[in-house]
Amino acid sequence: MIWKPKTLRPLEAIARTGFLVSATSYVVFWVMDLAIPGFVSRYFSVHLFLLSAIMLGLAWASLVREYEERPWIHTALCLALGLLAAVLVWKTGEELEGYRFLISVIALLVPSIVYSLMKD
Amino acid sequence: MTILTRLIQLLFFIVPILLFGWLAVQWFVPSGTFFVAHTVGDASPFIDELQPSARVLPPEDGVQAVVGDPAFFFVHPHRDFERVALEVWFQNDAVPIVELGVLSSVNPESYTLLAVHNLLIDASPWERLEGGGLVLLQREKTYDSIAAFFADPPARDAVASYRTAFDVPYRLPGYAPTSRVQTLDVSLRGHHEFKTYIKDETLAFTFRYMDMNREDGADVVRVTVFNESGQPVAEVRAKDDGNATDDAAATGLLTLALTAQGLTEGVYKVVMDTTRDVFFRSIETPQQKIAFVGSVFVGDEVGYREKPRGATLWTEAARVRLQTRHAEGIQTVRAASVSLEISEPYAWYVLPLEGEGAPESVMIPVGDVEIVADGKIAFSASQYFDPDPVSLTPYASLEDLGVDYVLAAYQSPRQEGEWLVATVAFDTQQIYAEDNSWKFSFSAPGIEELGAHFLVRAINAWMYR
Repeated sequence: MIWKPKTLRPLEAIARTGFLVSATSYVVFWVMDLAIPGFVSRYFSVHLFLLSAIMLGLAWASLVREYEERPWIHTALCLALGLLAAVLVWKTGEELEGYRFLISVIALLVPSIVYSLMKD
Repeated sequence: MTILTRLIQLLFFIVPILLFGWLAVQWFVPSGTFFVAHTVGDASPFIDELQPSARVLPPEDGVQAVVGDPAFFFVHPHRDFERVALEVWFQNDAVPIVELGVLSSVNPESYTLLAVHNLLIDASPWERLEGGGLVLLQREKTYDSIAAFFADPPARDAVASYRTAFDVPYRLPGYAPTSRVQTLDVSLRGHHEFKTYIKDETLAFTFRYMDMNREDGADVVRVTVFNESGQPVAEVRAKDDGNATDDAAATGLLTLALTAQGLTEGVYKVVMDTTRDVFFRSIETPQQKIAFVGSVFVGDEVGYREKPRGATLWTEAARVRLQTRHAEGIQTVRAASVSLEISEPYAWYVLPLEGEGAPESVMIPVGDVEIVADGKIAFSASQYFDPDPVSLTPYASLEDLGVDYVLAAYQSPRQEGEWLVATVAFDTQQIYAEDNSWKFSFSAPGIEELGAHFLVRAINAWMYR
């Protein structure tokens, strides 16, 4: 056998799935609420998913036994967060006038800069 | 990994998927009908609380008292709908007429009103017939059906109407046209509507007006004439003066002439549709009868005359309500038998008059006053006429109206336990939406004067896609 599936303890697997689903749901529902204002927030707070992601993330962090480096996921996350931050700054930054483009570009780069500092 | 672990993991996936599906159903409304239930006092993302606080009491145990007129609330639909029906759960044993209206246009602000509760009809001991959305009350039973009433209608002045038209045309016996031109020398601010009478003559009006440019926006003037069937038969327009700012740079006197020939005998409605920046300074016409409908705004004469002349108006209304918005508009208004001091801006004052019989004069010495009457208003006694059928008002009982019949577009609310439930429906085409919100308003004329109130428990909405 050239590879062996990674085995997780049941609680760790549950916390990991819960965290990933909650975090993904938070992003998806939040983006839907931005695109169609009130789509989610008329019925419940989208931040419930964030609360769930934080709690399950903490649980997963306390249960995990071995860490695995996945640089491509980090890069993809930095890019996605950077894009999201840039779009938000651009959409809400009308009053920034001439600085609007520059600050949007900075927002795009901030997650990558923070990540590289953390790695160092 | 155990089955239990797998099941819990599956649950984590299913919950957001189900939630998303449920939200999508709420948004797309595949059934075509979206229902919102709202008990007063409970927060709702779709239906706001009743306002303003000066005209409603705080909610108590899911019930709120409306003590002033008007009281309004906003509805926030989450998507486009074609029709909305509001169901109001209420109790009312003192307010004669309660209506629910929706804001249908702004500048001027106007509402499409529908009946919620008409105590004058529901508490009447007269013979009652119902059918086709109409109610016919008879002092003495004469007709067996509403169809029989329309087949052989009584005299026009024997019928009071409510929210419907009684289609027996008004004719002035002995009326003869004249070529003598009369001038209404009064400053009228903004949108107005009046009725005039035509028989073998040309309809002709020459409006002289000024664009005072006190508020932002273009000030187009459009005057339209409607016949007795409500069809437009003539129209004239004037463009803005080119100044859409609020710099208060007034134009000189501008002229807009409207003529229409070959009109058949009858009553015609003239709608002067414009903004509050436009002040009509005079109207010249050979027409002998000119009666304004509902309300007039006698404007100030700043930038027109050094000393304001005000106006004298004539009406058969039992009361007129007056308001000024400026300290310069504080004045004492005089009727034949009573005078009234308007002592404070933005407060409505009620001037009681003799009422039906003969038009009574009301002298407005300074102007800058909005006047609302439950009858017609003319600016000379000879011009006064009232071509409309007698209307039900909250200020007169059926006996006082001197009629034998009441014809109403009205459906009495149904009884649900100790609550009355009325449903009114609006086409969303006739609703003015701002920020995707609709404004609804309870109209209860006379509620303050009577010291009355009505209770609201719930306002539910059905929205149809």
